[in-house]
Amino acid sequence: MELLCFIAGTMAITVKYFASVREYMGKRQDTIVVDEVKVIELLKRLKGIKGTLDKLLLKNGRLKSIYTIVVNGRDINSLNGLETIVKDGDVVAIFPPFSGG
Amino acid sequence: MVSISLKIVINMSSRVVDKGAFDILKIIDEFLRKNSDGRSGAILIFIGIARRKGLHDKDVTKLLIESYREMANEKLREISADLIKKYDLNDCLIVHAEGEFNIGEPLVFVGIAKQHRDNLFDAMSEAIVRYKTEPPLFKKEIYKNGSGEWISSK
Repeated sequence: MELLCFIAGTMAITVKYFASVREYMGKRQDTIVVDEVKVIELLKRLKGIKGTLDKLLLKNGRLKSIYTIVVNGRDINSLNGLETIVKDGDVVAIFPPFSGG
Repeated sequence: MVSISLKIVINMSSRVVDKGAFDILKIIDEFLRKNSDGRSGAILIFIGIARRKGLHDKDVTKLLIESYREMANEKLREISADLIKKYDLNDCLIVHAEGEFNIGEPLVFVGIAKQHRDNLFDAMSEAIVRYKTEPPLFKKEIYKNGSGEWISSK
């Protein structure tokens, strides 16, 4: 049983939402079970209470400059942009603009 | 014989904490105690407070702060380490609170310590700009009419 839980826990991509993105989605995170997927496909697939993520984050097929997407802590701009491939066990986080207090 | 001089740097705890664990007087006390060994002749402290006037001069009733804790901690420690190196500081501590804040409540502490006072204010200015813009921290102003707005520091 423990082994099954362990396997189930790693065979997925976790997507975390913050601040205004969390409010748009109406949840803190999603867990997607796929072997691998491009970030752009992920955004089209993930749906929240106000629509799919690509509607919020993209303009003319490009990521709006106010948003940041990181995969395992690395900005996708330093990887392969929206074509970055995410795999089982990866953690994707989606941020609106930062603002410390 | 090669002589190597090592500078002992105190920089282990810049971090985000829950509001309930953010005791500003305790943090100040600990920072002063930590830097009372005689190496530092100057200490500068900044405290960020929840302000009543918000974006477009609107009346703010509450502030919400949230973060991606793991990444924010990593970035705050990176900022502290950078500033210690750049300004030859003995210590740089940034503690940011997360949660819901009433007006007038403290929500961030920055403390820097150095042998002499030169460039200390420059170091503090840079620390403030960087903690506001680089870690994944998010701030929402809640207004009198119940509406709210997420703020961008860039």
